[in-house]
Amino acid sequence: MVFSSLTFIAFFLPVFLASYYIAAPRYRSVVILIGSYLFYSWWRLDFLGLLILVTFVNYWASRKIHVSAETILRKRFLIFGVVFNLSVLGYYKYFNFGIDSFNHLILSIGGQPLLLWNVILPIGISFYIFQAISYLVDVYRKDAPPAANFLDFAAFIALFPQLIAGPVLRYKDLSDQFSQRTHSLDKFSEGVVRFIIGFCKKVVIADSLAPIADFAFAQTDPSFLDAWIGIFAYTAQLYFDFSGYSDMAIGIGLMLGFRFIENFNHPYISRSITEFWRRWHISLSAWLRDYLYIPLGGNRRGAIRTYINLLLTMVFGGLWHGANWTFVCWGLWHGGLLALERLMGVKGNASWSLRSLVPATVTLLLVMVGWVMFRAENMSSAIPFFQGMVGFNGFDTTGMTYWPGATSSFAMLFIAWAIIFLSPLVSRINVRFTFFCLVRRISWLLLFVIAISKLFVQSYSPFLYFQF
Amino acid sequence: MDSITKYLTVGFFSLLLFFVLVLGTATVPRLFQSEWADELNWNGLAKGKLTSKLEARLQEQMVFKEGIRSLWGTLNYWLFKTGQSGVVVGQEGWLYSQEEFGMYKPNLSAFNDNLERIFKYRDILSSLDISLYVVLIPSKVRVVPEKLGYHQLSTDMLATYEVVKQALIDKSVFAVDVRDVFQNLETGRAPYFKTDTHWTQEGAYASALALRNSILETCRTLPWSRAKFELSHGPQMALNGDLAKFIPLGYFKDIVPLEKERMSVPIVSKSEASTEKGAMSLFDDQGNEVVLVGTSYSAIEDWGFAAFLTHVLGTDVLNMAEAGQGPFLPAQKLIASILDGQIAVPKAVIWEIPERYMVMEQESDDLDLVAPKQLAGEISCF
Repeated sequence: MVFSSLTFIAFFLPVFLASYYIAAPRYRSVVILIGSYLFYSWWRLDFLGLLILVTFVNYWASRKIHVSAETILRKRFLIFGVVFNLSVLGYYKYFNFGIDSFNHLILSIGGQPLLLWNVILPIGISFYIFQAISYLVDVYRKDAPPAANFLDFAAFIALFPQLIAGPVLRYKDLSDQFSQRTHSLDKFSEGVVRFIIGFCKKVVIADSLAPIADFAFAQTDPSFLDAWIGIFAYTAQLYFDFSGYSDMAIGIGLMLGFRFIENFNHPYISRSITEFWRRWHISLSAWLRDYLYIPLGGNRRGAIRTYINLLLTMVFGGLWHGANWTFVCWGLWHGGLLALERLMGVKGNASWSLRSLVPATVTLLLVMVGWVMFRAENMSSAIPFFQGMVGFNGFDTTGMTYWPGATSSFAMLFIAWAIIFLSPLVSRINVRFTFFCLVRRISWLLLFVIAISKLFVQSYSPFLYFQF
Repeated sequence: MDSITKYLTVGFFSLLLFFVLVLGTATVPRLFQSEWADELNWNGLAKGKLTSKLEARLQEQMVFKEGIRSLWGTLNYWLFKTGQSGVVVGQEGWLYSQEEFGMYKPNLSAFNDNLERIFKYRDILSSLDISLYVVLIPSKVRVVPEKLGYHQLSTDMLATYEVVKQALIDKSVFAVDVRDVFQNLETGRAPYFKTDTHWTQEGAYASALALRNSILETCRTLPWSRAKFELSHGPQMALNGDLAKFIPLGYFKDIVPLEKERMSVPIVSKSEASTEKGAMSLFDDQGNEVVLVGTSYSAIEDWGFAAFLTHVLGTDVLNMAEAGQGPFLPAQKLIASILDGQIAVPKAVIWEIPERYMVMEQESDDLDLVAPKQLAGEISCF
């Protein structure tokens, strides 16, 4: 089930919210757990078993870590838990990739490929495994107390707003909220607005851009214009799709009284890749920093080791997104750029000015180059796209004029980029609640009605980060 | 004002969700289908087959869906001159199939594979003394480019027809170029319908005539027994253009109308008296000497291509074209039927191929087809 579906909007959300608010406060974690399990098992009931197993094992390991007095014993339970989590993730996510890559190698030297079973990737596994790992490490480091009871922990792991596409939450940020959180008109209203914004980002904007991006990336030899229009469309689509989902997740969280961390902060105005990773998928980059980069040594072991740590962290981050060499290359790309910026002393902290336009433009172009690898099915289809971007396939301007739904899609592309560049300015304007605010609110509500009507007529459109 | 905004937000949101819940509940009786009985078990539930069917069904059957769909369809068409994926909207009501625009550059690998298929089939037919005549149908985009508006074919795609034709001729495949006859149709007689992918009866007739003239030019005679067939036309009827389905105007079709086209279906019948040389006598039974194969351009009887061929070629043409399969699969099936003896060996096969399929990957699996004997692949009239 996805948020932008009739099943969710027409059935799940209204019934869940009603059940949640009807239930007595002490039973609300139960309602969250049941609702989340129902949400997850709508995809496949059999994989709910895996989610429950991971929950049990991590809860058990965290209790053992907490009650063990000796450090060595605590560390063993931590290692056990982390290895268990990574093994589950490794098997379900990377088994097919590993076998395919091995077979490719074997075939190239004339050997016989291995014929093994195909492993299905459970949705959301990358997110809930990372959450489980962060929980164990936080309990070990004593940064967070263990969950007071199994129910709260299970509800945290399965919390449906963020279960299948983040933000990657940490228990220490939510533990207080599980035991005590406020429900108010303010919060619920804020949650509704946030949800509507995310819903419109996804259904109205991202889904309108998808045909352009899909068309461009389907070309075997895209022209210069095809390639650039396609990557501009995909860059915007990915942002609105993913940030839209995060907004919806945060919005639903607010409706339930939770305040999640923010996941995006106008990433495409970044003036460096370093800054980009403070603005894009913030929860993931923070996780990688705290649970991978820093344990590897961070920047504390000299320059060369810092660069290596950056590369390793980003390659792992790339692999987290998907089991494909394209994601490894994407990770190498970003890791390499981060290392280069570190070498050049780029900090990415300065405030924005007109002089920021040049580095911001360069950064955006570098990010777009990365997105080509991110989007391509494999590196052999990414290369012709890069060739198109530099004009090796010609500059034929007619290549763009037969695109599907051309006029409305291109209008939306223009609107999307206007929003991307103008919203950082708009968000700084502190408008007090006046008649203007009321009009703005009514506009959002009407846009929500339009977006829901679009749901009626479009086919199933999952979130792009659903596949991770 | 702050409180008003919040109450309005929460109230409106709640009412809207409640309304959609009511619509969803009203849709529930339409959801379940008897053929899902197989999925009503642990396997169906565990693997999510039942839930995915439910979601898809809900999407199809949601109450008010048709009304909303027609509203969006009308707005998109009226404001942006776009339809659903599959159609390209030109000027003055002209609609084009998105398939005809293809890629920026043609798929060369698919092109070469398809050419090889044609040569292979020609060789097999030649070894059975069957002449193959290919009618290469130009895309509507190519024939009526002036109505495309700002849409255009890429330069490489524009060259496709000529490249295909030349490749066929270079390998001695009898290929009929109908571009000129389409362009030279009389004013008021269009080769293509506005709201349909396919040719009009005029376009089909012009192609049939062009084929006949080409054969006569090459072979001096039509190499099969001939009879006289009379052509007449049925009553005028409305055309439901296949491209119009991609513009779901629904309840608003009278406000923003699409072109209402009409056509009459040709009817061919055999004359009682036949004075053609080599005409069949009453007791002759040689099966169909000419077989037509291809796509919906031939399979759909309304366009009349088979009837026109029967009339101009003077022989009862057996129509083995199929709609929705592309040109290669029906040809593969025809050849298999001939080799298996399921149909009598004809004298000639007319193969209608729309040009856009030449650069599309096909699902045809023709590895089992083998020519009974090797023959030189020359243009054969017999």
